[in-house]
Amino acid sequence: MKNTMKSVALASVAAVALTAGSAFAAKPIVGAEAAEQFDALMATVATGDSIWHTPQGSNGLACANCHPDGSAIQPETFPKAHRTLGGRVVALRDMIQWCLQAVTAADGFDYASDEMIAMETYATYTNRGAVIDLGKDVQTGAVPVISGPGYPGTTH
Amino acid sequence: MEKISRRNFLGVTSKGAAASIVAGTFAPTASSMIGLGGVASASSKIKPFTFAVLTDAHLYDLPAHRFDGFLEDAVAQVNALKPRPDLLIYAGDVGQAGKASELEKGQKILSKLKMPMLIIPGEHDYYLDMGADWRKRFLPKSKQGVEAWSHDHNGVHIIGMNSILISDFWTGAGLSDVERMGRVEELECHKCGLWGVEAKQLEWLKKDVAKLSPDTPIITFTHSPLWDYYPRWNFQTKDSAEIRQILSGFDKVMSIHGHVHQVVYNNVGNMTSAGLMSTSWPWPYPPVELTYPHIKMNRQNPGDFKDGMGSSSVSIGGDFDGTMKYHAFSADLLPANVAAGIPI
Repeated sequence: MKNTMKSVALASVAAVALTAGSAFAAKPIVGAEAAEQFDALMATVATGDSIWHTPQGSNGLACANCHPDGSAIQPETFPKAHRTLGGRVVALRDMIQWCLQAVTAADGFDYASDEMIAMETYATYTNRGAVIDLGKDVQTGAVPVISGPGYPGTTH
Repeated sequence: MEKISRRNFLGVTSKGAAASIVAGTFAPTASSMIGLGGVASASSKIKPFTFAVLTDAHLYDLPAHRFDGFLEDAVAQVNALKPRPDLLIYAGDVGQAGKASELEKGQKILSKLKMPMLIIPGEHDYYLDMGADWRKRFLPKSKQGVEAWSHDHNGVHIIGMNSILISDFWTGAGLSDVERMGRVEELECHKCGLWGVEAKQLEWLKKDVAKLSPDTPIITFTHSPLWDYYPRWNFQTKDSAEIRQILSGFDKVMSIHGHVHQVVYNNVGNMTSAGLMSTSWPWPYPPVELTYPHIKMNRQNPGDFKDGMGSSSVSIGGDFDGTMKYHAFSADLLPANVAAGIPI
């Protein structure tokens, strides 16, 4: 037993060393580079926020009608099999596309378009902190969001 | 207490519109004078009755929009209830963007109700023209000043108030009427602030109930809840504490509200509170813990556009014992305990 524990301990030390070693293989993203990434993310969230709150189709409905603050999306559960989309495993953007086309009577966006990326970014940002749990299929609310001054893209 | 007669409502409806029907409701009849005159309505004097509730149709200025059909179906649903409800209260948001065309469409559909209607405004009816068109269509001239009313029915004192009054955020920002409405249309409007009934209606409420005896059964209608559910989405009324204080001397108060697009229940002091399903779209439960988590609706199927919605009715017994019944469009929306009826 003792030897076994010692082996585990040594293996753990080795693993930490390897991890530490790999951590230095690329420089951590800090300072100006991190700020630049964050600013770019927030700009995309703001674009997504705007699209989310603007009717895209012919029936006047916007995503925010049913999903205020990005609620009831659960991006952390995708990819998952979705009954509404024929029971196949779909990605978040498949679901967004379905909602755009079926619910709001819009044409939808190309998957690689800036608009689709922005919507996906808004959906994931408003649910940040949720634990990834692929396939989970229960109703929960959105995480509390930061509101008021400083909230990205606050135009409304 | 004189029952509102259909003739009383329709007698002034030369244009056949719901506005005129409601105007008939608010005409200074003997019944309303009795209610405001302070004749106590002890609960032992209640004559049991049922009333129906509809809310949040959010009609769009678009032809053959699916929400039109949902409201029509809800009207047919309450018209078919047995026994037929004595009256119907519409709890706000007939339209989506406050346009005359939306309100006119709603008025036309609601005119098919086979019972008298009382109505209060929602924010979507209001912030394009600050309620001018809504008042013109749905309120009589005598009620244009304070958008609050009371009505006595079968021994119960029913109160309706405008709970969606917000401070002016638009003038300083230089917003147009359409831009103002656009902001308010968003549930998570960051800059709109909290809404409420404000001082004028609080004063009206004090006077309205001043001479009622404590055992008078009270039912209030507001668009938003009279408790702090989730202020970020204005699932609240900022002066609800004052309202509850004014009504605290009564044995029991039922508060029924729209705006939340979902089944929800609460109890604060002497006030029981029930939220209503919409006839447009359901809203998710916000990320807060409910005191009565077993009184909720199930998750709706996104592929069924009619799921998550419906109408409601409340039966009032002789001891002011109420039962809220939710009539969902889809049979499997409601858990068995909710489908059976919620004591309120």
